[in-house]
Amino acid sequence: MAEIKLLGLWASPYDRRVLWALKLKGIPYEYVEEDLSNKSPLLLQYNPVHQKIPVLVHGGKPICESVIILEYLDETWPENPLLPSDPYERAVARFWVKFIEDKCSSAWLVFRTSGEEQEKAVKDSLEMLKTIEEHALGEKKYFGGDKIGMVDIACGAIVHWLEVIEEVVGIKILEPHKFPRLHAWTKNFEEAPIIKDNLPDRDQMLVYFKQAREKSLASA
Amino acid sequence: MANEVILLDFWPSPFGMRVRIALAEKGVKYEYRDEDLRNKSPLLLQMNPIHKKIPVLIHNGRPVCESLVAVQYVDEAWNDKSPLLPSDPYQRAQARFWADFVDKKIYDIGKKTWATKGEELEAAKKEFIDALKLLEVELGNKPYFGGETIGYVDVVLIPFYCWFYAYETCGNFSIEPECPVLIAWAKRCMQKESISESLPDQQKVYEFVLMMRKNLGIE
Repeated sequence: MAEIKLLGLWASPYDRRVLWALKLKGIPYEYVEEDLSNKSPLLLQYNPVHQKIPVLVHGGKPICESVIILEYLDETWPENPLLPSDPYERAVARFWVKFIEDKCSSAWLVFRTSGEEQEKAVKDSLEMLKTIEEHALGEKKYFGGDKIGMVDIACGAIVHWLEVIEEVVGIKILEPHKFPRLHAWTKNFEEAPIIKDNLPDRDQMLVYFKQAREKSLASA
Repeated sequence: MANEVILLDFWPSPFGMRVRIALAEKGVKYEYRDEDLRNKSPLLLQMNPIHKKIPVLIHNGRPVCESLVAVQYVDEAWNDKSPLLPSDPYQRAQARFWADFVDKKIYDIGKKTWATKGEELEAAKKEFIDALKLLEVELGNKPYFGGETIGYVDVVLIPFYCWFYAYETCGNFSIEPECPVLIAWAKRCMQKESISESLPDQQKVYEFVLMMRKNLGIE
């Protein structure tokens, strides 16, 4: 089988999504940690347009953008599928993945800002979570049903990082009593066999994001 | 069961045009409904409660929202002819990447060419041309982004062509001298009925943009 490389950053939720998919599908890969302040020639060669991680390189051919990589993995390794087979259910899953992609920027703004700007970002994040709570999560264990799928992976990364952001900025956003379904889903997801063994170290994340927030506020 | 297809749309929307083209390519008969976005229909609010936006494709009573999701749905639900995405997973990933690039760049920057002035406008024009040039490199010397036939990226990008006249006239610049290959591609696309019948006249789009500028208080 052609070799697979993942160019990434341990502290990136987008990177983590790809890692989870690779592990769930049992696909062997080589991980290459990137220094985003000093991007490698390899990264610039494989993602000239955006120069961002993650980049999956399969047999020397690069695929960029975490959600596009997830779809690629699902199509190339169809066992343990991340998307349903029915076209309408696939459309529903893709809708929620896009929703999460479009709205998760508010979580990053909570982390990067303070004062009024942060207040607005908190409000936007709450709205995003409310929509997921009321419309996306049914009575099943995961978004797609009984097994972890693409929406769980996409959402899981953002929610897990949100937990760190909450601690760094000292604001609780995903409160269990306000979001009971999402809270239950988060526990199921983070305790699932492969996911729980592949979560980033919480202490290291706190150190990393505390430093990153200080830098962000200093340059604001 | 009868195949009932309704498209809730708004005539100048490039996002709506994508779905129109996809349905036409597949030969799907559907009912087109133009929405008044200042007075959204109960159906639109019911079918897209989260964003309340068009386009919404309603297939046998079930809504599909977001233009890229809807185009992929049309491709998969009517998979007997005119495939829009290639069959090879790597080629599909590339097509999705460039569709995502169009979504990230063309609409927002294009809007700045008619909604801004001065330095902001000059920066937007440069960014816009740079994005189109990258797309030209991706197109290469293929007749379409999809190769010999129309594909996903063609469907996603071509609707903006009917907005180019508005961008150029408001922004006071010309796209063809900078991106001749892309304009040749666009004209080639307009030879196809599925596309020419799905895009409104560029003059009408320009008049619509002038009205929007007036509403926004832009001179």
